[in-house]
Amino acid sequence: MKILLHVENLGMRFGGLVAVDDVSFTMHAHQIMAVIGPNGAGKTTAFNCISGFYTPTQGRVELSGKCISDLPGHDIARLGLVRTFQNIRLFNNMTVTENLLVAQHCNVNTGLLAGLFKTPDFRKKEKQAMEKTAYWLEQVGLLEFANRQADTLAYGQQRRLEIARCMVTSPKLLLLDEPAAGLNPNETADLDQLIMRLRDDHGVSILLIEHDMSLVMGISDKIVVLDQGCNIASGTPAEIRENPDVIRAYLGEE
Amino acid sequence: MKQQFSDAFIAALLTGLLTIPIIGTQLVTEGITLTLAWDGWKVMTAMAIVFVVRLLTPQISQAMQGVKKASSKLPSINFAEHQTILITIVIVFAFIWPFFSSRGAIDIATLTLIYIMLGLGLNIVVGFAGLLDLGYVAFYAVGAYTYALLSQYYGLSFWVCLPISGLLAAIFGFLLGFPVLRLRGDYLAIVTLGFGEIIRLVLNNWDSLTGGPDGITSIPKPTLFGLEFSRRAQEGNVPFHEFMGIDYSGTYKVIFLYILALILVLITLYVINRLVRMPVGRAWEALRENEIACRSLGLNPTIIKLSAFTLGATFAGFAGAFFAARQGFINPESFTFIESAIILAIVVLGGMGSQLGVILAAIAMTVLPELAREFDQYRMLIFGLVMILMMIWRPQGLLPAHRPKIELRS
Repeated sequence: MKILLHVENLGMRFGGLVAVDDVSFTMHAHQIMAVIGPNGAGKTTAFNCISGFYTPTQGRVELSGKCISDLPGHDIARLGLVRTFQNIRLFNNMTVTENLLVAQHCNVNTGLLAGLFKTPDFRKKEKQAMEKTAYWLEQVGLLEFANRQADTLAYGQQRRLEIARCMVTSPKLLLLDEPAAGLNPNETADLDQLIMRLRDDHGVSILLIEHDMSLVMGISDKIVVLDQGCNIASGTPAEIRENPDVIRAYLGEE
Repeated sequence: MKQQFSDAFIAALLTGLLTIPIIGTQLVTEGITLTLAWDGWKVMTAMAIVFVVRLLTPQISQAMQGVKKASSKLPSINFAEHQTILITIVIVFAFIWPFFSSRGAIDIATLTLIYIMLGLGLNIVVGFAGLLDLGYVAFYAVGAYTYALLSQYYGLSFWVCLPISGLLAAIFGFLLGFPVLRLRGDYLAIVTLGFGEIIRLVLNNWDSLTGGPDGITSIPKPTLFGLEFSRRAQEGNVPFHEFMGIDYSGTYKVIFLYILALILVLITLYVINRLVRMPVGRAWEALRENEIACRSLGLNPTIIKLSAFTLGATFAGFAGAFFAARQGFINPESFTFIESAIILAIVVLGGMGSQLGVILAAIAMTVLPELAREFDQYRMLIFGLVMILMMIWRPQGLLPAHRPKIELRS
């Protein structure tokens, strides 16, 4: 299988604090992979390094064989690696539709003159963007809220909108930072389905941070466990469940 | 009550301290000597007013509660239904009006139009992109000096220089924007403030090119397809009145300038109205709301901010060229910081991001001082007072922005 994401000896230190220490893992195309670990284990920091929001102090990250560890976040996003945030980051005062239109900025005609005079190409691209918006709103079940302001949506809907906003950029790899946080069991089950569909129907690979173990164990092909910045285990859900180091990290020493 | 009393007393005392140098003393010329005249009554009056108001503050604010409720219900005019008709009527009226009006009024209207253009331009930067620019007047100066210098040294006409002025101002906007746009909020404001001053100081001191504080005189007025509006045209040219076979009148020129400004403002309005509906307009809004989310979606914040800065500067460039042409004389005094502050005040008073608001505020800021010439001395005082009152009662501006929302239709 094709290697999609390769993380090698990734390290991130803030002054004397080592947040991520020598983390390595490989992710193949069409995989769903989870990063788990106790609070403060450095999961989100690792995500920030991979998605270009931090420049890692050590190691390298490759996306489809291309080194991305020194690229800025917006360039990485254009290469097909997009992410959501632990604390949802929507454009709150814009409508649901507009949130998805902004995300398609790189695919529409941004030419100044084209926009001023509404050239045929400009109209065509805008129309395509609208169609894609409608499609993805339907996929995540938000079509009826299309013209609502984003911050008027319920929490679970905002989470889904954030995922839809990533998907309209046609990513190869989607990073989800605690997508089930704050969701009720029903919503979590829906999310489970959605993530599977994204992979199976749309060919997107997914790397997620999650605390909800039933979700993680149910959908992941592979799990990486971080503890105090270190990669203490990786393997299939079954292997992780049996791993004594993981149990110790979560439950503490006997 | 005692607390309130001492509070009011301290406030009155502070007022006294502050007003003594401002309105308590006045420089009076007696022959060739300057003397300091002392007017205690004004200070006393000011102190008394502050004391009373301060003492009654709780009662006043209680009474105001009802007013506040009412004001929050103020309709943010919804004229969507008859929009096209209304706009057409306003535009037609704006074109016809000067023919039935006095020269002075048209002149003030032209000045207002310049400020509208500046306000609309700065509105892109401050209102849409959320970047506080305190040196906007620099681009205005660049536009004005571009036309003045090109016409002085190379004899280029207004119509050739107008696009060049816009372009050059845009280039300056780009050059300034490039290094400073990684700064945020206050830091950006300070750097742009500095830039505004640098431009003014360069213009003031580069005597050999700009004429320094003496400025540039006899800048030619714009022509109408080569027709001049002076009594006697330059060699080889025909003045407008001879061409039309009518008597000479200075009013034609004033009306022509007014209409020219009006057209420039209308073009500005059209362009900005398109911009907010274009991808770049959406990106400005998104960037103002959440820069991190923008980056995570592949939008390059620097380029988007830069586009706002550059486009904003362009309109200042156009306004500058027109200003130079209208005045016929420019010097660095026209481009001081206070000018930047006034333009910013127009944007804030009008309601950031609101175009109609900016237009109303520009009219208020230029027409009211003209109407109240007798109170000229108190202009800045009233100006400050209005700002404070606005911040208390209507911080969102006269007409808060209503961004055109893009709707998904099934």
